[in-house]
Amino acid sequence: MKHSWKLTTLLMAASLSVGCGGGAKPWETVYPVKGSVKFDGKPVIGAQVVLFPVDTKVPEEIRPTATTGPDGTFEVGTHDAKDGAPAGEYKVAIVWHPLVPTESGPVRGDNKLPPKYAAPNTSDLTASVKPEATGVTLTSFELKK
Amino acid sequence: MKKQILKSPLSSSHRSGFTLIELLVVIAIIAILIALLLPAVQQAREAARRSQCKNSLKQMGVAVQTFEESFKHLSTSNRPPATGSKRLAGLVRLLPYLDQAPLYKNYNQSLQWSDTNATQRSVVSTVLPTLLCPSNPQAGKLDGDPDSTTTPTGWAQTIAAAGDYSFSKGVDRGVQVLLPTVLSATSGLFTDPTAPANRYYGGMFVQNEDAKLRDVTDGLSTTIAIHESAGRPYYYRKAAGQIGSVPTNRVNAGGWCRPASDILVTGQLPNGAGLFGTVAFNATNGYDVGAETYPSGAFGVQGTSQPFAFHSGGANFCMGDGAVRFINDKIAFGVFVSLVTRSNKEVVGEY
Repeated sequence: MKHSWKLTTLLMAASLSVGCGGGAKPWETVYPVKGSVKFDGKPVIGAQVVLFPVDTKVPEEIRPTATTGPDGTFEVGTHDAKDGAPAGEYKVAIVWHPLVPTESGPVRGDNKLPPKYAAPNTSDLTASVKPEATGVTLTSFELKK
Repeated sequence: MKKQILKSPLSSSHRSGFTLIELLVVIAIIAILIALLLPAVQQAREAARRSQCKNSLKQMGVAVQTFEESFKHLSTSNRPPATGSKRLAGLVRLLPYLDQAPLYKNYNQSLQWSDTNATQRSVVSTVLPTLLCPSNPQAGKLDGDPDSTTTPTGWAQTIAAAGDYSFSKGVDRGVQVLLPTVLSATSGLFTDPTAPANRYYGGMFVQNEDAKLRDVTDGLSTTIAIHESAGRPYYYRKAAGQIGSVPTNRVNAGGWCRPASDILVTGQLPNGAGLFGTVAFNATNGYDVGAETYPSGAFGVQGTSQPFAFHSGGANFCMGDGAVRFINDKIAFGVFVSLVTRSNKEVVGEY
């Protein structure tokens, strides 16, 4: 009897560890990422920055994004605002739709940045996020006409 | 034969009863059954609320079709830029088809919805049960006038009765950079006929144009006409629940009489802390404008609400053909955007 109890406990523990195993997916861990955007040497305010993972195994809903603040700097967020991005290589797309005045008040207008930066396959901007808990500061994105 | 009957256990002197153990086992079984049933009752209540919500959306879907039958165009909202002309919400135009003809007659279209005129105020503050989802804990609350927001806390919750269902205006152009394979940067954009600078990927109810059903070339059954967006003007996130309260935390939308309550889809961050992420809906009910004066620094004069429901796992949507569908909130953002746009020629797969 004693022996069978031990066996049952062992089996249960084994099945539990199998059920809960697998571990977190690599893109669930994020590291702080900072950067800044300049266009013709001036900081861009309110631009959208989107990081597209080069690794095609990363699911489509993992798209670290950011919006630039009043000084053109940004902090990337993936699961939460400004929480960071998973480690890896990225292509970076940037658009900027500033408010334009109309008779009924300001609305979001056309993209004021060169269109090549708007898509990951035409943009030459890249980012590399290393798994460092202290965070990564990207080199400033200097956009030109 | 007689002997056998006499020998039956009931008549014998050796009577059998229930032992304590047997009794306890029966009680335990009954307790387990009750424990199984109680959560089921709670789920049944939510299921009932969800079907009532579906019923309300169906009423609106039928009203949209009836309006179209009478006028040969859709009841789109007008937010005309010309000074002197007035804003007019599509839902106001739809009132006679929602059994609210007297309310429609009392609404003065030559006045702004937020006008101080007493009759106008009494019309726009009327709570319409058809426009409320029973799962919304804030059902029947009021929305305020954004024009009065000269200081962030100057907004007063006084004027317009909020509704939980709003027309689908389209997709914000800021979504394009997130979905370069679904949306084209250069084509498929709708241009507001009264303000050419105002462009977005048109949904079924684009504003300032009497859109027709034939404009919905993506197919009526695969284009969303009405979104559920509950909790407005309060600011909600799915994970964290209600954030603060009005006026310090609020989305700029809610009143059924407001064209700004129409929904321009932006996508959301997974935990709802911001917009322009890759989650389709249900992470948050919009962008919090509570710290801003009007117009908003990021959205200008546009409304800032997003599709959101208090139902677990998804939200109800009314499609262009009047069908009401419960869409799972795990839907891929690209597929959801394809369902919102009216003429972007996407092939919508299963969802």
